[in-house]
Amino acid sequence: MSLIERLSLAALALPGLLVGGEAQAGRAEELYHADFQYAHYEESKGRMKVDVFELSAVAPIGDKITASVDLVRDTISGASPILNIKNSDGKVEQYLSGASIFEQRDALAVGLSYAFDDVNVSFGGGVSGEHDYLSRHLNTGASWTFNKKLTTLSFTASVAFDEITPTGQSDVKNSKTSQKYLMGITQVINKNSLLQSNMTFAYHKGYLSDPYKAVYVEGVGLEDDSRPRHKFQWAWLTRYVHYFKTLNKAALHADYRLYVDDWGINGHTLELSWHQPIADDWLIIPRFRYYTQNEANFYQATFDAMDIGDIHSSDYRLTGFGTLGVGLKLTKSFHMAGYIKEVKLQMAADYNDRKASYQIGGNDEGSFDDFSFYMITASINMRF
Amino acid sequence: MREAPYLVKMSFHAMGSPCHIQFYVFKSAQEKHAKSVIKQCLSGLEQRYSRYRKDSLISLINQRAGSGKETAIDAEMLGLLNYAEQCYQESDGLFDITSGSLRNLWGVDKQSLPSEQQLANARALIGWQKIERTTSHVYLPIKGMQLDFGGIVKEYAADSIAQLLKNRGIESGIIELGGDIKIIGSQPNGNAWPIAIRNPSNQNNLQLSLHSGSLASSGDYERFQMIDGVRYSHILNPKTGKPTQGLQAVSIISEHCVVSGSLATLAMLKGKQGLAWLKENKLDFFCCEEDGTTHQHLSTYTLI
Repeated sequence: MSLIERLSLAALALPGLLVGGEAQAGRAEELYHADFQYAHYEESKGRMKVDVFELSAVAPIGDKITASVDLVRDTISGASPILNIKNSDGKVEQYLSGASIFEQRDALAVGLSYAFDDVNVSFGGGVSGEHDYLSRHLNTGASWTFNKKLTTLSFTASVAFDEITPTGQSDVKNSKTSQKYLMGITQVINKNSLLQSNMTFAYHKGYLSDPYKAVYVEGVGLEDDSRPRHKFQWAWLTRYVHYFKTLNKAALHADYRLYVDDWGINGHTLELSWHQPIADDWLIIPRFRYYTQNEANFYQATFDAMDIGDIHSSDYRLTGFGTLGVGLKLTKSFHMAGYIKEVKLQMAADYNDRKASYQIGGNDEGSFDDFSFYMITASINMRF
Repeated sequence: MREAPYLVKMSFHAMGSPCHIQFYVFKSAQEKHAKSVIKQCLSGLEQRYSRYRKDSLISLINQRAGSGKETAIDAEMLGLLNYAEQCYQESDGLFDITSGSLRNLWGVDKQSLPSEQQLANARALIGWQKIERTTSHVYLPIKGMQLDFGGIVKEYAADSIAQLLKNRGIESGIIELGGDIKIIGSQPNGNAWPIAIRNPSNQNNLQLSLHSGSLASSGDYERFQMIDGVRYSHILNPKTGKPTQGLQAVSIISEHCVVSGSLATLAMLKGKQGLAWLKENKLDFFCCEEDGTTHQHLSTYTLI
């Protein structure tokens, strides 16, 4: 590259020189974005496999408005646990569905955001559907940056209306509604660190059971999964980010998330990741994650006729367990002077091991429900 | 049928310089909107980058030098700092936006030459590599250090206005801010815009015409197409602390005005090696040496 090409390339990163760009402070999103992502998720023991295809685009409309659209297609195959049974030795065994399950979920979401000087407001909505499931949702949010852009407060609210018509039970139509509220604060502490804290409240009402799951009642047989008709959830995420100037601007991200719901589940997530820039716009991110939860107060692996109440579930997601995860992500950015300004390629692999015995404080449920899963993600992000 | 476009002319004072803008519009609503967008853009840039305004972002950064307090920056400021860093690297440290402290020693109102001690004191406050910055913050660690986007912001403003007008469907026009020129697009009849560069050694102007791109100059002369008024330019070498010697004036033609402007300043800073450097980098230029000899290389542009 010649001198003039090198300087022109640097100049093209200036907001005022971008095609469609504006020489104005405060608005970060001034470009068209198009992203494509593919992810493959797979569980051990022949359980679930999910392939996710996602396409999203962001476009500025005039000076202040940004529109976005997001399309997702998931295909799900493999077996999933239906119930646990006690074998003749009195040991619990998990009973999986046949491996023929094939589901396809399609989702569409659209959004608009409007930027004032220090305030950003957004509105959005979407639908997602499977052959037996339809969900419609609306959301709105606002964020306010003040204190010389060192502090950002944000609020979002969303509501979803879901309908489920279980396969083989076509005369049954169940519905639920969900409300979710988030309040967050991001505080820049100094030039090397920032702290973020988000609190989420959610309330779900209606049919919250899983129509494809059952419980085993010793001496009696099977009963349908039956959960409370309402659920309150509270989560608090705290994230600390620290930049190390001496290590080529590497960053440590440390997250802790506390989760509590009124079904009796308390969850804790600790996640650490190290963002290490290396030469030529390469970024390598190793990460470690630990999650633990205790069981819901109406969960049992199997039930006795004596102790089963109206509310009962043996869903593996409601039991006590712990998950240890490690992952590695690589990203590479290309900055260009042509029509496409930037291309970013990302590849990530995560491996997780879930075991009852990893639950903090101990768990004597046994290993019938232990499994591992991995996820591989590849994405391309383009900016025009 | 599409109506014929008409010419809008604006003359005003901004960024410490006389400015002239001409562009073609199709209707008065477009004219009104374009004018307000231009004023908004210029006042916004002055508000953020003028050293003469105590409440500007640049003044805030300068006032906080050595105080331990850093300043949050936005994407634009980050872009300008990144651009300035590129200029610093390309020039082996000659183009340094922390050279502002020298200006106080060589200001036009000064009657005597600064002492060696004064120069040494000023040089201690210079050095791009001293700046502490991240993508969100900047801090000058020594009290008295100054950032000065003098050689960048006016040219960036010309590019920005051209882009703003293009975004609003204006295809034909010329922006001139204190002698730095950016073309939006040819005149509606297809003709290029006539530009004149004054030769500082005599009164013969060099005339050329531009369909697109930009022209920016550095040195002790004024360039004009529709210009009047006087401009003083003192290019100070951050390594010696003294005004550069070798070239009287340099004009550069390239796509972006901000690039033309920084290359012109860089050539001046190169002093006696400036001419060889201009040739070596195959730039489109016009320059005048101190003895009045002129040189030019304007391959891709039409001379009238």
